[in-house]
Amino acid sequence: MVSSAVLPGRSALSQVAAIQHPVPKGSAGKITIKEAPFHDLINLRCQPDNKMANALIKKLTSHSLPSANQAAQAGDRAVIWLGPDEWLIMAEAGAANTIMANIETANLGHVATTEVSNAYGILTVNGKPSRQMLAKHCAIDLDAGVFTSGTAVQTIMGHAGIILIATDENSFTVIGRSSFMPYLVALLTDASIEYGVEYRPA
Amino acid sequence: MLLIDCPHCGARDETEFACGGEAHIARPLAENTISDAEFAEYLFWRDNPKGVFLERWCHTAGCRRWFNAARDTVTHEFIEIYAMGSLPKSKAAKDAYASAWRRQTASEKAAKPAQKTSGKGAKS
Ligand SMILES: [Zn+2]
Repeated sequence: MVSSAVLPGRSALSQVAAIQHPVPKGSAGKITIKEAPFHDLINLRCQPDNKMANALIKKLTSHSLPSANQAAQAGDRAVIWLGPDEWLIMAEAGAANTIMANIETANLGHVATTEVSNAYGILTVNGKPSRQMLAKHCAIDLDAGVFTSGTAVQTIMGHAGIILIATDENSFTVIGRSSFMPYLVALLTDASIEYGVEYRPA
Repeated sequence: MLLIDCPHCGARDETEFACGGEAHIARPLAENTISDAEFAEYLFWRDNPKGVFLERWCHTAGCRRWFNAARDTVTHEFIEIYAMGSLPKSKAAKDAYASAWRRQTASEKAAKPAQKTSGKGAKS
C-alpha cells in the first residue's frame, strides 16, 4: 500500500475550481456551497431492534440508530437512515478502521459493515433560499414544516442519486457518488445564480 | 407523475422507482415433469391485464427495497402495497390474484410440492 505521505489525499472535487456569481438585487439571500471532504463513511447492515448494536452505535456516535428518513448528528459523527436494515455512519477522516473494528469484534449477531468513504463526496449548502433552490431539481417536499432539521432522504437531484440531509432551517448536506460530484456542483451553482452563489472548494 | 407509497420511506415520486413486472411467478420445482412449452409459461409468458395487476416494484433511488403492489392499469391507481413474499389483502387485489391466468398454468402447479410430500412446504 502506498502511504499517504507519498500519495496525498485527493477529494472528489479537487479538480473543480471556485465558482462565484454576485448577489443580484432582490435576492432572498446568498447561497454558499462548500465541499466537506475526507469524511469516513461506513455502510452498516443491522436489524433496527438489535439492542447491543444500538448501544454500541450510541457509544460510537452519541446516537442510537435513527428511524426512517432521519439522521442523527453529533459533532463530526452522524448516523443516517438508508433503509429498514441499513444505515450510513459518517465520521472524521481516519476513524473508519477503529469504528469497524469496534463493531466487528463486539459480537452483535447478524451485523455487517462496509467502508464506503471513497465512493461518496459531500457538499454543504447554506443560505436562506436553499430550500427553493434545491427544490428546482428534487421532487421531495422540502417545505420547512415537513423537511425539518434531522430529516434525511435518499432521492434524485437532477440526474444524480443523492442523500439529502437538513442540518438546519437553511442548511443542508448533500452526499453524492464521487463521480457525480462535479455534476452536482455545476447543477446546484447554476440553480443558485438567481440568488447569488459562492462555491468554495475545500 | 405518480406518487408511490414506499412501505419504508413513505410517498415518493415515481422517478425514484422501477417496476419489476408481474408478481407471484413461482419457479417450477427441480423435479418437475412439465413440457418445455409449459416451462415457458414460467420463464417467458407475462400477463398484461386491463384493470388490477399485481406487480413487483423497487424503490431504486431510495431505500432500494422491493415490494409488491396491486395497480389498476387503466387508472394507474395503487390499490394496495404489500410485502414481498406475502399475498394481497384487499378484495380487488385478492380477486385479481385468484382470477389471474397464471393460477391455472401447469408451470405454477409444478411449483408446488406434490401432495404426498406435504409438510416440506415450498410456498409460491
Ligand atoms: Zn423506500
